[in-house]
Amino acid sequence: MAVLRRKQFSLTLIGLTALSLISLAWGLSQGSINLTPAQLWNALFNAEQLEHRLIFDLRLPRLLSAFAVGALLALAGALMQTLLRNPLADPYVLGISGGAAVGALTIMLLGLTGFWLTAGSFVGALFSMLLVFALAHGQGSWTATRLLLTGVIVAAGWGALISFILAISPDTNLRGMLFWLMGDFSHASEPGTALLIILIGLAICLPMARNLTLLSRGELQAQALGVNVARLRWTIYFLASLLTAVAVTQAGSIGFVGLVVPHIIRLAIGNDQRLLLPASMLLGGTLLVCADTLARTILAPQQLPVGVITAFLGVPLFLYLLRRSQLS
Amino acid sequence: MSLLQSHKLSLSISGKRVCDCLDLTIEPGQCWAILGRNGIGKTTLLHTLARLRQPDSGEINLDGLNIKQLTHHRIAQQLGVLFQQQEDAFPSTVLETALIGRHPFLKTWQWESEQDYNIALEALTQLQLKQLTERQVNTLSGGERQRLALVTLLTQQPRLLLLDEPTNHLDIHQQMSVLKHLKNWSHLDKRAIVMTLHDVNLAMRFCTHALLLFGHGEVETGTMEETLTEQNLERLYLHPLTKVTGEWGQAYLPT
Repeated sequence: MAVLRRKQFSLTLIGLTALSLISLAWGLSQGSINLTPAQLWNALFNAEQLEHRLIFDLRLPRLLSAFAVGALLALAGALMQTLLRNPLADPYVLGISGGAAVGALTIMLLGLTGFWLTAGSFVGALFSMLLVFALAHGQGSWTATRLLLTGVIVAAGWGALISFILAISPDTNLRGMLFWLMGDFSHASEPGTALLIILIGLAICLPMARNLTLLSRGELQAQALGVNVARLRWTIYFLASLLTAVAVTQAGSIGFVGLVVPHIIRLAIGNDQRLLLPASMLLGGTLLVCADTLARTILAPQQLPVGVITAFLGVPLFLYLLRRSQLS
Repeated sequence: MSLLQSHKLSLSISGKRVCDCLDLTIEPGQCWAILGRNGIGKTTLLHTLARLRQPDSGEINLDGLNIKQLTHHRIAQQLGVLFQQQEDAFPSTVLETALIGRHPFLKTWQWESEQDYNIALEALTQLQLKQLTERQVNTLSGGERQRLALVTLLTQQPRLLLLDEPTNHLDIHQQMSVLKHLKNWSHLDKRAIVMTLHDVNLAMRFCTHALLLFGHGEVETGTMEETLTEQNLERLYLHPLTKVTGEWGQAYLPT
């Protein structure tokens, strides 16, 4: 039985890895010039072809960014759901994306771009993370409910600030701001950092995976079975926040990936975090690669913000899952 | 050596004293009942003994070692806790839930072995849940969920069980069968049980010792015969009781 289970786990991960590779191949072949599988194969391994440059300079960096962000968000979402023991939690529920958005929009309002935009949103995200932590920590007690409520309220505050900045911004800035808010990969061309962070995140999470499965059954229960809950809680709060901050900095606040992906995995194979965490990453990456490819091509040459596509895919999918779980 | 020992343990919840300078010694083979009115601090005391909560002052020793100096991991290898409620926010099968009992014995990268599965399946069989192995926990009835929580503890195989209302949600037959099972369990291999109960008669039937929490820090401990007197119980529950005696034994009925 034990062997069977590990076999099932490895098969799932192999299947999801294959799915990720297929989605990447599909993404690489779609765009202003569509490539057949044979052309794609040639272009990948033949440096003299024109398409080789197209793939390695333009499409691949963007797709890898999308993959990394999807993986970051799905992992952060799975961690937040466990931390708050709330199935409706997502990476943004504690206001990280709100803080990042206020940071980014302020930079745009000042007319700066490039590095400053990245720095602004990252600082905003970190500030929000520390603010929520300090407020929720209060006089010692740090219950999941208190943390959740603090995060939701801080997020609402950021929402008001975002509206304020949009209201006072000149019209020329508005389009860029809206794209940032909805999530967009058109400026994401350096996937290196995000990919590295995802590997670090996984290296931190996987050794704690069994502890996280226990934490999802309640803090006291986890502690009674030998988990150092205080330390675990602290670690996943900061880890999930950092993952989210990196994702948001890369591509704005893309919704639904972090909420829906962990649930799809749970419905398929349960809540064992040893599988849930890596599987969520792979599926999150795959989903965002597909969504970004659609965002580039559906109304080509016009590009849509990828957040619109994830929401279009995510809303009906989530409603369907919710309905299905009510029925069973 | 005693399994669990408290020395001058003082405890309070939101300003109300639960116990003052309590010296308690739990020996292998004993089965303790913690009795008292609602909100008097039974659960708080139980959680403190399991190091899930800090006492105001005093010391607790588990198997001769100060519990403060042990990690939660070490404690979990010796001591299992049943909570009044189980949180099932996320999907999980009955077997997975039983298997979490093996957590204290697995190393970081270790997976549950075939032997761990067998321990869990054996425990499921003992509490008659074997046929529900693959069911989702949120589809279980209250009584089945309660027995599953006990199965997790049997899978954990600790030497000391701290049970918060183990008979919750159980029908009369299951109450008797579960308590009988636990009593037999406590006789094996130097084990002991501490449980909070609301039913004095069940306590008399299955426990060897009692700890009465009267409130305001007043506590009485001792064997069943010493502690469960009519006078003590009326003072404990602030309700008049009648003792009924028959050839089957004796029981208290509220009047």
